[in-house]
Amino acid sequence: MELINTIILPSDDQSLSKDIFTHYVHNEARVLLVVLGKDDEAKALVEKAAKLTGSAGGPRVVIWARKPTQIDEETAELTHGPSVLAAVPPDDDRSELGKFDPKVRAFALSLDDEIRDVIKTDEPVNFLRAFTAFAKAEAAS
Amino acid sequence: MIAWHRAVATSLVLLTGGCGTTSPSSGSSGTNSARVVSFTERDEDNGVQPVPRGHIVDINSTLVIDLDRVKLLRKVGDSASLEFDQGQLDELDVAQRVSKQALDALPLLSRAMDRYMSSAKTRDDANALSAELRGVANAAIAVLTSDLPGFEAKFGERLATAAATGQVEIVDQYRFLFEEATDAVDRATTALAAQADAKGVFVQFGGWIVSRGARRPLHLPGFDEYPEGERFVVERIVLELDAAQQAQLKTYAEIAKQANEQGLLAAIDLERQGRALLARLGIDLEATIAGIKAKADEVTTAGAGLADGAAAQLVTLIDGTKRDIDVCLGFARQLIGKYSAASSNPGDALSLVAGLQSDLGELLARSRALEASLKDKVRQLGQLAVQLTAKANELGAEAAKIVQLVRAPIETMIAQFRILTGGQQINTDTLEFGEKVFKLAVGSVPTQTELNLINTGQRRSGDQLVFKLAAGKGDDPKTRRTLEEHTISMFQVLPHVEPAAALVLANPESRTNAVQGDFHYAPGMSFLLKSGSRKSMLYNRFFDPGIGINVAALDFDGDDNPELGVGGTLSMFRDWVQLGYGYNFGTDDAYWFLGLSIPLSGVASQSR
Repeated sequence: MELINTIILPSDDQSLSKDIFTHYVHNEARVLLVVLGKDDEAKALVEKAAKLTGSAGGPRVVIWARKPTQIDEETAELTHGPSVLAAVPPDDDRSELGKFDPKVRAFALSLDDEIRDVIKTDEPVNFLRAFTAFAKAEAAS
Repeated sequence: MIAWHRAVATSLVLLTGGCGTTSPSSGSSGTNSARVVSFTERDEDNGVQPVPRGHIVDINSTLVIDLDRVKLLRKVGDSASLEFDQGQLDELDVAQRVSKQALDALPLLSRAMDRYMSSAKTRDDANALSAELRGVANAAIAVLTSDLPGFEAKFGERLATAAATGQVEIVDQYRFLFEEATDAVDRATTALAAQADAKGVFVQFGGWIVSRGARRPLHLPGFDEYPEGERFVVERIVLELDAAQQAQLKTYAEIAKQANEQGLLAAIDLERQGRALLARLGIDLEATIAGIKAKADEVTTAGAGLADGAAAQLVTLIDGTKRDIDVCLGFARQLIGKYSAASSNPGDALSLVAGLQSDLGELLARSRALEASLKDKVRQLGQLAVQLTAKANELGAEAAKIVQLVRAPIETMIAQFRILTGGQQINTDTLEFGEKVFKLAVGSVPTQTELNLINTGQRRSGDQLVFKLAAGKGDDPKTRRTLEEHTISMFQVLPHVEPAAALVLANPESRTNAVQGDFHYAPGMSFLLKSGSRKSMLYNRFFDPGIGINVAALDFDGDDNPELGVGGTLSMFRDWVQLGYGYNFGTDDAYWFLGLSIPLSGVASQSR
């Protein structure tokens, strides 16, 4: 499959994965959709989201962290926008949101490096959901 | 049903700031208003602008007339007592507006995206893109959270279809979303319209052009079967004087000639000009004054006569009543005296008893006569009261006539001023839909029509267009209620050139010529470039400024052979006043001039 505007973090090199992730989050002024995991649904989401990034070099980028634990610390440092907090069910452990949570399939980051949407594992994987995540990040950028 | 409409209302808060930063200001007029009908003007120079309510359009423009179906449903529902969910209508309204604004903003976003793609993609570049993207994205979130019936599935399908052929551009994704939202709103309104149609509700929309009091219906495609009007273009460049201006120029030539000999005041005769002006305003001053005086005399005389007549009748009545009572009382006293004396003289008892019957009969007869007389007097008094009331009413009517006589000229002047500032007042109640105006089911009301003013026949600056939207139920015309009325004035708003005759008061800079006094008077013509206002009636009807060229037939050397003077001029107040600087090519003299284009009547000598 051809994935435009998509960065796949190397599963076998944690250090490089951290560097790439940190670079895109803090140095690239892009709206990011970070997809976590390597199951079929994660893969399907990456494929669909990549189609919605538009032309190569556009403002949307998909980061696929097939091994999410590689970027646990970096993710934990990210702040969450108010809309994300509102979207997280009360029984969730919000303090753990930034770390790899098996309930989180993906999250969208605004230009200001804030998490603006979280796609949960129990949500359908489709174009509409991927678009919504990007739109929420862009609305807050 | 999911309360999707509540979500839209909540999301509106997001949009207010967000979308506003990216939406072009050229959204349709009355975006936030409850008006069903809105107008957009497309002028001859390809300018496009919304027409605010009651304002002004260029006389040769095309009007694009939009009818908002959601707002129509709301008004029809109110008018025909249909129980629509007002909350649902509110939110359909919002979703429709949000989508329209966002779709209007997409060209800007597209350009911003192009700039970003060709940039170095620094943070500044990203921020510049974000400034355009934020509002559209907020609008998208508002629509996404609205849960419009059927919207999500359609939008998802649209994205999937587009993605099947490759990358989907970001601007396209947003366009798909707002187009699908618009379609979802249309589907919802169609369902509501079907409810109105089932109840036999009909809608009519018609227009009229009102020119100098005459009115004729307009053809609005989709709403009637009137034929299109005569094609008539109001020329934007006119260089020839019309008949009235030619007559004016002739008058100015006569006045100029006499003014050069006797002075301006003698030539124009201010008193006569004042009377002529009043006559033009429809005020016959002398007749008005004479009328007021005659009516005042009439009322005074009538009042005095009424007072005298009523008083005399009242005295007669009172006198007659008093006399009748006195006669009756006199007879009674006479009887009392007779019978008092009889009681002291028993010898006359027999004759008294014999006369008693006839005396009592006489007293009874007189009492009855007095009663009848009093009744008659009361009746006469009643008649007098009626007469007095009638006379009083007559007096009141005469007094009202006097008030009217005094008020009429004032009202005429006020009306003239109103026309200057706000246009002609039209009694729209008298504008009735003709047989050729369709009665449309709500669901089949066109959401847009066009009116090319060029195809509305002869018209002139200041003429007005009136539009009416009405709804009724069944076949009974009595059920028809007017939902909206719109009045639009037409002026030559776009730049145009028009001629004006002028009495030129030229002041030569050099004193080597034969000009006596400060001014030399001459007839002249100006060709003025003007541009009207879309906002101010007063500007168009009163200030009406222009800039142009003045050509005058001067005679600075006094040889009765006119020299050509040409100058630049500024005009104000419908060309009544012009100021300029010119050059006399015959005598090589430069001159300042004041041009007057006030409608003067002929020279003094002709009218005396």
